[in-house]
Amino acid sequence: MKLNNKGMSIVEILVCFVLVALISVSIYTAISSFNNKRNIESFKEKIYTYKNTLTKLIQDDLIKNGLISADYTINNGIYTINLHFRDNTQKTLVITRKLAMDYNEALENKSGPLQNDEFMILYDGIEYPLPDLGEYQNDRGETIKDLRINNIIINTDSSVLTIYIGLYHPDLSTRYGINIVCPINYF
Amino acid sequence: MKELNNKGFMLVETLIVAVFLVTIFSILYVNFYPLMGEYERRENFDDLDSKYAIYWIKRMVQDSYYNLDTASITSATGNKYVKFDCNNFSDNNKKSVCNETMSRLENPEIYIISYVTTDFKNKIKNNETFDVGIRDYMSYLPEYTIGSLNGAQYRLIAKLHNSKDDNDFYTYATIEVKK
Repeated sequence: MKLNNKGMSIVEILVCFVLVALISVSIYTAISSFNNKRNIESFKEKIYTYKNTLTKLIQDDLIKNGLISADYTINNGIYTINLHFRDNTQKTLVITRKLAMDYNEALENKSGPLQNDEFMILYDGIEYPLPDLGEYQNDRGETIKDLRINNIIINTDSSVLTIYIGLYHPDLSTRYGINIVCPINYF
Repeated sequence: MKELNNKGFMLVETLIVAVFLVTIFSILYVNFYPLMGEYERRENFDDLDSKYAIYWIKRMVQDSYYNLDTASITSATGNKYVKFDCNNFSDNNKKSVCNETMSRLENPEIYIISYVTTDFKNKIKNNETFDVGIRDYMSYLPEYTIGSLNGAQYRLIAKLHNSKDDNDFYTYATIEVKK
């Protein structure tokens, strides 16, 4: 019997290696970008669930109980909003926002009291901590959370209540936040 | 013993297979890729914040002091929609609360249409005086031809601007109205 035993030439092997390398690199890039996207989607889902849960709780009270007045105080990073309802009940929303120094501030201020990022939303006596999406430390050793309360706007003027709690995440920027607008004493 | 066929593939055969594979992947890509955009776009359709925002506007439309021009919405020759306007309140206090609420909601565009969306959909389908966002949203909405279980005759369509914290995007929502 006459067998084909010529084997492969060095050029064929090289071409084969190059092809396999190209395919591996493209698959790695695709998987890595997919993995990154998956992480971001998972962060988004956690933030979405958090903001929707709180929005629904507060808006349901505003709608079902009927808001007759609202007042608020701001003291040392703690925002306290009292909501008074038609049935003479009251619910309190407390937002704590205490910020660690960012990288540039920490470089300039090496001394002074340390303050880790501290965020908490408390509604009707129940705590709703922000989802834990990671953290890191600045040069002073203060903990900086990846998900932060970026901005708080409270306004009760002209018979309309606005509560805006802006959230910031490095991958999602300021796209998500709790945004409540409700006319006061409107039945 | 029979001699083995070791000629390999012809160029034409390889090309046919390659073209076949490219065609299959192109079809998959063309059908799959728009779904990604669709998913991202729908993040802005009927989200919770917009739903609650439009709920308060619905309450205002339902207010007995709010005068709604129903003829423009329902008659065969009418415009098929009216825009929500705080000036339609006959009570000055309510008008003032309405203006403030609209301002805090960043002055959304609110269309009041009939409960069944068919007429409004047809009106704006290829009408470039309406922006792409609202046309996209209307094409996404069903026609609601079965009718409302609550006896609602009208529907609000809202386009809400979100510009806080340097954002600049629009969300859309709908809610039925019984008046």
